[in-house]
Amino acid sequence: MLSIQQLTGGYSRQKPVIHDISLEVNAAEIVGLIGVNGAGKSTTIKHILGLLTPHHGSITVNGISLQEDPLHFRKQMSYIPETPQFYEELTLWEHLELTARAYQLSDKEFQERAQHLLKIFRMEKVVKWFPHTFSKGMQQKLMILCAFLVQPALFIVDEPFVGLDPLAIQALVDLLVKKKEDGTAILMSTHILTMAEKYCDRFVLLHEGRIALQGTLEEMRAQANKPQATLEELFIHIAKDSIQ
Amino acid sequence: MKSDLLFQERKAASWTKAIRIIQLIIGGGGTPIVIGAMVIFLSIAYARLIKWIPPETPLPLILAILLSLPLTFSFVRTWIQPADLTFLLPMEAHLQGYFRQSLLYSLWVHLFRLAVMLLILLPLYQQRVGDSQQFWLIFVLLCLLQLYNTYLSWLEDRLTTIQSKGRVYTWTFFRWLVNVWICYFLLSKLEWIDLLSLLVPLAHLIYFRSITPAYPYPWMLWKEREQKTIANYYSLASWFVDLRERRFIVKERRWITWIMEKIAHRQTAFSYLFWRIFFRQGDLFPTYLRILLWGLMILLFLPHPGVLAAVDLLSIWLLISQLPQMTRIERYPVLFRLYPLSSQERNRSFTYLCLGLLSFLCLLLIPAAWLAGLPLSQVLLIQLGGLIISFLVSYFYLPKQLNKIR
Repeated sequence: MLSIQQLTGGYSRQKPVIHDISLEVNAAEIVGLIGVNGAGKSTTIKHILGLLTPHHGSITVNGISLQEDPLHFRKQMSYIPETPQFYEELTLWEHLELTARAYQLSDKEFQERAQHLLKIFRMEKVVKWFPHTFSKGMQQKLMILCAFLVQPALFIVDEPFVGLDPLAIQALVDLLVKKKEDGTAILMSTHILTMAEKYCDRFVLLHEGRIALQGTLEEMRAQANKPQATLEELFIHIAKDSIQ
Repeated sequence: MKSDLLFQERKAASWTKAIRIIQLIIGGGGTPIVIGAMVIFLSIAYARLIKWIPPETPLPLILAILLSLPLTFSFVRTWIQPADLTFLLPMEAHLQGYFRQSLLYSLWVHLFRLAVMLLILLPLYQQRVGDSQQFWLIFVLLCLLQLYNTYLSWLEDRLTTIQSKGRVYTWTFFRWLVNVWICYFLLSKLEWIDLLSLLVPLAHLIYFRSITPAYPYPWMLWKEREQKTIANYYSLASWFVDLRERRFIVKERRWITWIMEKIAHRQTAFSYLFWRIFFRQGDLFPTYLRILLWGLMILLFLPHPGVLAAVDLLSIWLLISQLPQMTRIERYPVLFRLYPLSSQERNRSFTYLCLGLLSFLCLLLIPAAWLAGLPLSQVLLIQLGGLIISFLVSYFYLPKQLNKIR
């Protein structure tokens, strides 16, 4: 589904932030993108979304790159940003309507999906509200609603649990698992390692812009030569090594 | 740092920024010429208005209502920033110096505003109400009234911490009535007995001082007001210069949304977004209405085919200098760049919006110009020209501007 090959990139060609990143996210799979702050997770995600141009390497979704067919490329993915970003001028419902129009959903699809999502995230009562009046968690829910409304082939999810209440976290996890079972590919960046360990099928552990460990938990344990380590212990092991 | 110095620093920084923007406006393209032309237009229209007003018009009352509005809305400028709610709040008890400076500064600004307003009203007053000698006495008394209003407005702000908004608004309404009443008596009779009217604001002031708590200060109110003030200044300046750091205020305007849903149910994604932004972003729609209103007023007092053509051109120029800012990518969330929609689609939606707005403006001026006394054939011909220019601007000029912006 998502294929990244030897990606080097960043904000300036003189100072690349990520180096030689190669990873795959297959259909019906959740891949956890983890690493300390500044490891290059968000930069990698920005490259996948096409917000930054790679200095080297390629990014394709189902074999098509952004340059080859931008509309088709974009139509296949949905993004939940780390920080809620919304239109100040639109209500919650209008955000959903706009998303439906941008992704050309039929009225029936839109209504069914929107009502279902509003219900499971308990946002029915605030559909006519402007998001700047929401709490941070509710704003994050808005981002989640817009992303799940589309039902794309690939989800890019950046720190999705920040600010959410326990019920919303559970609803989001359930949705992600359901989507995965339906065949959706999910790349999820998170610092909540217990959650990642429980729900991700594979991991990519970034450190200083490079892949430090990659694979299933078993494979990463073998790479780090720590056969009993948890994901958190592997994470700390990699981070501490660089400090020493 | 002493808190009054902090205020002085903020004031100086704000004025430095404002002066830089004013320099940009003065140095920018044809803006001074347009402003000059507008001032000339308005002066001529004002002179005609003075002659046109029927003798039986209750001018003192109208002037009293006009003057009472700036007097009543005499908000105190505090320059309170969002971060102050974290960093200044713990020092609340040591900020008397800061707010004293703020109150004094606001009073000077309000007095200046009052003087400008009276200067504008002076020709009308001299011709139709009284003589210059009386006028200067009224000016002094109105300055006292301004002092009362600024201080009361400050106390009303502070009362919001212990009283409901509705109650404070009622007090503001009462203050407005007092202002109208005093202004009316000053303008209509000006007898020494009227000076007793000033006892009402004095009593009001003493009472308010006794009920206003020393703390807490209404931090949220001042923060929000400061943000609105800055947004309004930026909105005004952006008529003349391109300001990327401009901030926006959102107004819901439900009735327009309702109409839009009825008449344009099947808009494309970008049309859906742009039309809503146009109507809800605090200043775009009011700017459009102001342009329309100015055009109508100028036509009413200067009914001439040349004026109609000038109004068309001026309106088109003002709108095309405002609208392209809507398409700036950086003012939208990241989602805007991720939609599976082409930039041509985006430009097309924007073109339709501009053409719709410009055409509506041209069409609305037809009955206005005709009612003002211009021959219909001439009006139709000129407005046809206006529509053609609107079309050319929307389809050829604006798309180029959009590409430059990006």
